Amino acid sequence: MSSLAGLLSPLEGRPHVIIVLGKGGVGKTSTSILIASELKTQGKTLLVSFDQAKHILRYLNLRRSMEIVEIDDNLSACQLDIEASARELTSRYSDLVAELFPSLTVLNLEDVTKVLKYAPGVEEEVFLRWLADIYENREYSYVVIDTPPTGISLRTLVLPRLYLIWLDKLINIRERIVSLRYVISKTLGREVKVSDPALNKLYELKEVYSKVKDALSSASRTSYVIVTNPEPLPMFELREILNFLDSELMMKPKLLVMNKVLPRDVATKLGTYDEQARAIEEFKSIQYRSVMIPYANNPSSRLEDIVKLREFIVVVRG
Amino acid sequence: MFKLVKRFLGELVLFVKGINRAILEDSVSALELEYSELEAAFMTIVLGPLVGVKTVSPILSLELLSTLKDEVKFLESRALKGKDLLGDLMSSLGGEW
Ligand SMILES: Nc1ncnc2c1ncn2[C@@H]1O[C@H](COP(=O)(O)OP(=O)(O)OP(=O)(O)O)[C@@H](O)[C@H]1O
Ligand SMILES: [Mg+2]
Repeated sequence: MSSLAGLLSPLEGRPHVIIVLGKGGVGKTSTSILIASELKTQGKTLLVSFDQAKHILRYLNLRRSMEIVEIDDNLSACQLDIEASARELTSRYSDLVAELFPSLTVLNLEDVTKVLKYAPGVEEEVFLRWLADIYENREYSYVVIDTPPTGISLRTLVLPRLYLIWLDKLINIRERIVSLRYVISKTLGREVKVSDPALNKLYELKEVYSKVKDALSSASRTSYVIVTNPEPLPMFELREILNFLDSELMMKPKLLVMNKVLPRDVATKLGTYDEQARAIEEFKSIQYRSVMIPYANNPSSRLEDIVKLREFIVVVRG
Repeated sequence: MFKLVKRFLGELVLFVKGINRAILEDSVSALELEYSELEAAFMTIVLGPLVGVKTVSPILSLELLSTLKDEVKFLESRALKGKDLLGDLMSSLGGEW
């Protein structure tokens, strides 16, 4: 029996965040559960799932999303619903929109906030806000994150850097605006207001996003785990994610997991043996710590079943 | 003679004061121009995501707008009152840039 936690170590920082990435259906949720159930023996662990299928609710018998539930002494879990969060966040702003653009109420304010929820960037923004909160939460030693679909996840991971570019621009302009306002008022002998709420807000946002950006690119705060299957599409996505981590975050994955490896005879019978062999060969050639998990006959649907998978883990590269 | 000089000096003082005033107003209006241009640029970036110009996210935009209520209200009072309110607002930002 091998230890995933051992392969992931060292895990510094509080909390150390383990981000589990991979194509839909490859076993991100199962892997996240495996990792979390090992880490809990080393320290207080939180498992956060952004899984849209909400499998984790069923796996862990959680009753509903958005609340942290204690599974046992050292393990808590939480299913976060990105769509619900987006809805909540946008509706929180509908009053503001109504106040700022009163004419919109005559039109159809409802529609504006409804559409806003689907606006590009909102889901990523919601995910990012949760991430920012997670990095600040010192209650846990480890937080394992079961991510939403790859597209959203990767866009979210670059978002802080993107935002900082805009925030810097905005701060530049705003500082100039505030100082011009000061000079103009002073020259004309008017009363001068020095503090500017917008500028303060910009500074505050810059701090939040700088922190997340640094944490996401810091091996001492974050470990990336990528899960794949011995099939062309999951392998394609693995390469995409590797590329992304390298070029956008200057990070290497801590661990690669090839899940659902079929026994030779079964793969041969299914006619997928060659395809699987090619994928495994490529997987083995990648220079990072990696493990393989065989396909289990009884589909894991409960925590106990998933934890049993651990017995079959094979270390490819330690 | 003395009276004449005094009047001349008096006029000179007024003249200089006037020039100063003119220079002052001139420079302030130059500053004001720059100010309104910057304000327009700033609001364009902040309001952008609400009209499909991708800058920050719509949520971030709204968060910033909540600190800019007065400015937005001022802009809105300048904007046409058509069906496409945000569109009118954006076009009212105009500017020479
Ligand atoms: N090693 C395995 N052997 C057999 N079945 C597995 C194995 N790992 C995962 N599964 C099954 O595959 C399905 C997908 O697993 P899981 O939910 O962990 O994947 P996921 O990547 O989180 O999926 P999603 O993208 O839908 O969130 C589940 O039904 C699970 O029981
Ligand atoms: Mg999942």
